[in-house]
Parts: sequence; C-alpha cells; structure tokens
Amino acid sequence: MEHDHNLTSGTPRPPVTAVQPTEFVPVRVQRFNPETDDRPHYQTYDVPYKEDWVVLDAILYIKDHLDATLSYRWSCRMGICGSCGMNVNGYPKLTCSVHLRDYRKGLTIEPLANFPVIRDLIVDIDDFMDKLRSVKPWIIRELEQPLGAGEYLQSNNQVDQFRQFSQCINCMLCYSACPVYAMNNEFLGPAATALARRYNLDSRDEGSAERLNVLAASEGIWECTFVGECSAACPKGVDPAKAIQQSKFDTVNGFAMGALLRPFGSRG
Amino acid sequence: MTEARGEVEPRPIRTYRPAHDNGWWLRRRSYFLYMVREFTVIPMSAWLIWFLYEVYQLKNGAYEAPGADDYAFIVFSVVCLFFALWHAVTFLTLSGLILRVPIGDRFVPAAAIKGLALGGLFAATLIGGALLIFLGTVKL
Amino acid sequence: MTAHDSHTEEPWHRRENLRPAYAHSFWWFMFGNGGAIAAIFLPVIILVSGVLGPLGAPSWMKDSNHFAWVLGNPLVKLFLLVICFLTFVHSAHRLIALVIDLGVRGDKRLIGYGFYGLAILLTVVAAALLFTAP
Repeated sequence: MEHDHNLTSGTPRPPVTAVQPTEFVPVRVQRFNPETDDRPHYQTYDVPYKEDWVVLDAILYIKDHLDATLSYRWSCRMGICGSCGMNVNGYPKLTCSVHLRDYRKGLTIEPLANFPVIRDLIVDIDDFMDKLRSVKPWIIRELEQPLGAGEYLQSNNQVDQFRQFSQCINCMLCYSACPVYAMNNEFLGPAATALARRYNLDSRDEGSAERLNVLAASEGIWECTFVGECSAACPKGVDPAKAIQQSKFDTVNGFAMGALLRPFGSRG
Repeated sequence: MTEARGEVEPRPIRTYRPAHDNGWWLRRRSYFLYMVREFTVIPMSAWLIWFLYEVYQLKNGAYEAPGADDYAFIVFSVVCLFFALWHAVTFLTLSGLILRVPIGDRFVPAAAIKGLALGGLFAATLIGGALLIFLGTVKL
Repeated sequence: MTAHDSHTEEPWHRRENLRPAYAHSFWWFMFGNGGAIAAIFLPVIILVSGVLGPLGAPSWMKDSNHFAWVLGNPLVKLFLLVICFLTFVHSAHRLIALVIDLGVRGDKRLIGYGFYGLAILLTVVAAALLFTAP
C-alpha cells in the first residue's frame, strides 16, 4: 500500500516522540476495515497537545503510540506530495499543512469525501488518476523541434498565463469539496480541468484539439455549476473554478470562430 | 494497489461509499450562498411572467396600474428586486474571472472587466430609470 | 449505503466516439448572455415598474394610455422580447442545475428538454402578447 511506503523504504523519518503532556486533544478518527466492516465507525484517541504539531503529527502519534492498525497516506510532510489530504472537521485539508493548535478542543478526521474508502483514511484514487490521464496533462507537439534548435522560449507574459495552474499537486482536495462530483462521479472534475488548461495555455503546447473531446464532453466542463468551492479548498492557490469557466468561454469562442456552432447538432 | 502477477487475478477492492445527502447545501455557508445565487432566477422569471400578464390585461383593455395600496404586489416586486440585484452583483462580479479579452499577448485585467460590468449595471439603472420615469411624465 | 465491490466499466473518457457537446456549448452561450442582460436591465425595470411606480412615481406603466403608447414602438417590443427570451433561457439553465442539486435524479437530457422547452414556450407566449398588444 502506498500509505506505508515510507516505513519500508528505510528512510528515517523525523521522530514523533512520546511526550509527557499536560494537555490532550481528543482526535476522533473514522475507521473502516473492509475485511470486517459494512460501514465505518469512529474511534477517539487522546493525543498530547504540542504547539508546533500539525494534524498529521497527531495521526503519526496515534499510529506510533496508540493504535498501530490505523491506516492513512502521507509522504513529504511539506505540502508538496499531495498524499495526506483528509477531511478535518468536514473540510478537505492537507493534514501536514494545518496545525493542531487550530483544533485545540478536538477534531474529527475522515477520509476525503466523494471517493470510495478502501480502509480507514485511505481512499481509492483510481478514478481521479484515470481522468487526469484522459486530458493528457503534458506538452504535446505536432512536430518536435530538433535539440540543436535550442529551447522553446517563452515570454514572462506567456508563462503568467498558465503558471498558477501548474501549482496543482493532485491532492484531490478540490474533488472532495466539489458537490457536483459528489452527485455525479462521472464529472471530469476540477484538478483534471485545471491541468488540462495549464497545458492548453502553454505557448509551447499544440494539444488543445486533442484535449477538447474530453474537456468539452457532456461530463466535462459543462457539468460544472460554478459552486467555486474547489478553489476555496485548494492548498496551493490554484483556481480550478476559473480554469473550468474560462475553458467554457474559450470553447464557445472556438466553436463560434471556427463557424462550428451547431446549436441543434449532436449532443455529445 | 494489488498487482496482478501471472495467473493471479487482482482481488476486487471492497470499498465503502457514503450515500449522498440532498441537504448538502445546508452544511456550508458557501454552498448555501451558491444555492441562493441559483435560486435568483425564480423571482426574476416570476416578475417577468407577471409583466407578461399585465401586457395580456392591456391587450384585453383590462389593465389597471398597481397602486400604493397593492401591498402584496409591492412586496412581491421588492423581493424580486432584491434577488435581481443579488443576481446582478454575483453574475457581473464573476464576469471578470471568466471573460478573456486579448490585448497583444496579454489580456484585459479581470478587475477592469468586472468594473466595466458593474459600471454598466449602474449606468443602465440611472439612464434606464430616468427614461422609464420620463416616459410616465409625457402628456398624451 | 454499505461496502461494495468495485466494478470495472469502461469510463466515458475512453469512449472512441467522444465528441465535444455542441448543444451544451450553445446553451451555455445563451445562459451567459441571458445572465448579463438580466443582470444589467432587470433591476431597473423592476425598480421603476414594480416599486417606485406603484408608490406614486411617474412610470411608463402608470396607466393603460402610457403603457400602450410605449409598447406601441416595435423596438420596445423587440427589446422586451429579447429580455424575456434570454432571461427565461438563463433561468432554465440554472433551474436544471438547481433541481439536480436538490436531489432530482433521472435522465438529465429529459430534464434539460423540459426546462429549455418551457423557456421557449414562454418566449413564444411573450412574442405573441408583445406583438399583438396593445
């Protein structure tokens, strides 16, 4: 399992030591064992309070000192790998980036909403990975220029067009916050669209037309009703809601400009 | 994920998927405000349907302008006006985020588009209001 | 809902015949225009005709003479028809999302036909009324 790869990799991790605390924080954790449970239940652990701990430290403490059976994913502890996303008091958060001191009276940790739960705090991310792949989030060139021709140069303005969308770390907090995805798992979703847009806006890329069939399908951008919560949930300041609405605008423009607007044509 | 090797089929993952709750929009302020934004179309359309009814009355020679004692109608209009303004502000504010108007290799800044849109609302309200009132003062 | 076994169906984004949803793009275009028109013109129309007028201010709808006189202009008829059409289509677009948000499930295409159809029906009624009155 991905969640404990750091335990087997031999890489020493910063110790989460047992402390002699004066104060405890009740941490209520959703548990689900697929071998024995039909539905999840909650278990509360009293975790020592430390001013500088993040929520992930509390989870690591539970695993190391209170209950070794707890399963979850984590890796970098610095808000870049995107593995430790969980719902904290109902809101999707990177647990390595929110402090325990903000939940001093206690907190409830659940797996990211809107995904099937595999075990405890681990969700099945296959659907997202599949959708991400479907929008081809890489630079597509019709013809690669030879190495000798040098770099593909970009102006600052050209980089500014897509820079914020390239900050996405695939943590899926936006899917967890999205009520449209909650109601319809077919929806392509925020992060996949943001990353598709990241490449569509890249002056080096020539793959917009290839991405269009997925982006502009019924289950693509049109499904979004612009609740905007994806952008509020993003821990990296990406604005997927903007990516989706601008994709709609550009798509409509593209159809109109290409004289392709066929109002009563096929419903794709 | 379990990896299939040789003849061994990967074991299907038994997962838990919580049921969707139709009251989701009551659970978070931002969700609720989104629903209010979507709801604004009902009072706006309702007012236009009332207006078409008045045109129908006019056509039949039965039109009577609502007066100050038509409390129900005035309250109805105030409520519709509130939601029409709610729609106007939310919709035009978001326009800056969505519209992309190119100038050279840049785009018109979102704040400028938003300002122009809200300015349009302000201008239409002033000029349109003056016109609709003026038309009522013309001696026929 | 209880735990269940995952199943493997071919996801939509791997379909061979995947094409952009042109109809969706058309309705979104109409939705956007309708939202802008309604946002800019409806507040002032409601303010003068529905609030200030009844409270005693002069208004184009203050009596049947004035109302008929203004409506007699074909450009006014056309302008009001455009407002009605775009606002109704805009409303239909949002109502489709609203009923789904509130838990209505079923064939989305059918819900779409229903609401867009109603918007077009109301527009036809509006055209008939505006162009035959006064």
